[in-house]
Amino acid sequence: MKEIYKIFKYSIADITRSRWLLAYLLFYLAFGLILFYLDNDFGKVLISISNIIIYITPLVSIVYTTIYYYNSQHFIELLLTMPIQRKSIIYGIYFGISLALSLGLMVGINIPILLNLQYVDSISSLVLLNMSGIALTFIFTGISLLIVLKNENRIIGFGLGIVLWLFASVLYDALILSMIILLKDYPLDNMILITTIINPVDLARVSVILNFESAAVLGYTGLVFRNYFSTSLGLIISIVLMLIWTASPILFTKRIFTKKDF
Amino acid sequence: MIKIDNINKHYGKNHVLKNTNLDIYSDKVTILSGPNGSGKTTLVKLILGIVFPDNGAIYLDGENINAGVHYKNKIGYMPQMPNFPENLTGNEILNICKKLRNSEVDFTEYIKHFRLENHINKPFKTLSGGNKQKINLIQAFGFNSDYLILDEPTVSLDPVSRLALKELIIKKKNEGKSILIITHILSEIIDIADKLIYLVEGNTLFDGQIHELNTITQSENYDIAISQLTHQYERNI
Repeated sequence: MKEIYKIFKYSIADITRSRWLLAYLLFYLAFGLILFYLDNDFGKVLISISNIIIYITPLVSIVYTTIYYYNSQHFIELLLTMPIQRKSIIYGIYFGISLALSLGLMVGINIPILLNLQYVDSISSLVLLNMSGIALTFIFTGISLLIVLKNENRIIGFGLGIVLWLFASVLYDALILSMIILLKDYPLDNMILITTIINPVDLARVSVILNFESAAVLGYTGLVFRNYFSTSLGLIISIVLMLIWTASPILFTKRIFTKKDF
Repeated sequence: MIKIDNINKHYGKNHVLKNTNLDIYSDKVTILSGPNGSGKTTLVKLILGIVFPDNGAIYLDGENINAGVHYKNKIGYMPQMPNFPENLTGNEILNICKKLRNSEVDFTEYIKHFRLENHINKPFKTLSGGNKQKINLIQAFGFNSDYLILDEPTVSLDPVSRLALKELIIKKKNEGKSILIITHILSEIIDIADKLIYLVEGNTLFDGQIHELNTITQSENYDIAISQLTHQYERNI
């Protein structure tokens, strides 16, 4: 734990001084301020922000982690020559990136909200919004580390990351919708449910929707999910699934990292 | 002493190291050289535990390095490329290395030796190639490790710094440290070396004292001597 903390500390000190993180923070900050300027309805603002988080957070996590890893490769090799366990290095880097990006996200989102506190009517929605963003950051940082560790070639690593984002955030719902249209004569509810659980972006989207009770951001998969999980049990199940999604990529990453030739 | 015992390493179908047996002695400066793809980087990475062997073993002071990571406390490593976290200062980078090695060493002497006083608190990305290399050198030398592994240490250094580096290597050798230098350019460093290991295609072409190389090849010029050995090797295969 002590070793992980040492790596985490250096990694977060490096990332928090990066212009990328500042740009990320400023993006959410500007977006939030503009939304509140246009409309004072807290619910609507939160839904708009959540929509952006669902698309932008996985993309930024993938792009930033990929760039950070490839740029740090030589330093990681140097760390490997020091008397510290390999798992401490990868966990330290993972937590450093994830927490720095989460920090950028939280500051960016919450400053406009704090400035417009008088319109805030649902703290639980705000907490859930933050949690979804953080969960997506951790999940896609982990997945991205998995991709880059498996691919020495920067272009391939970067390309795979982008394809993954495109698939999870954009194409996935379109594919499911197409399937539903093609197989409309068959009972598909269970299949829809399973396909939603498979995709962490949909899972995050549904978790937020469940809390907002709003149809504005519902994709078809989200609609089916609500029918099944609009209870407190549903919320617990989505949190558990999100935790599984968060833990799995980094556990696989650690496994690869500890056996990898650099 | 570092003992490399019958090591084999493949990268896919490429057999990089073939039944390699080597001894790297204490209080000696050993040069590890060879053409591109000869296996010298892989050999060093194996010693450092960055790469795992297919079979065989490496012993450091009689202890198998697979036993754990604590043996790395005895090794100072200077990578060829000083690609350190760009947003941190030189001082912060050295402090990270100190914390990771659980050490309380003072780098002041080295900072003065390499004339880095005015640059050590600047962000790493703003430093010149030469100054980056000096920070790289300090993190390798600064912990007074028993073994020093230096990968192309003279790259990017100006003549004054190169001389300072050579002085430091000799000093460490006289203190009983073992220094392994990986280099392509023999002429830059061979005057302070005791031993040369020359690898070609994963085979050890030469492993002996520097003067033995001159005797075998009857050449005073090291580049010509190595070239002769390489031609001889190519004729034999």
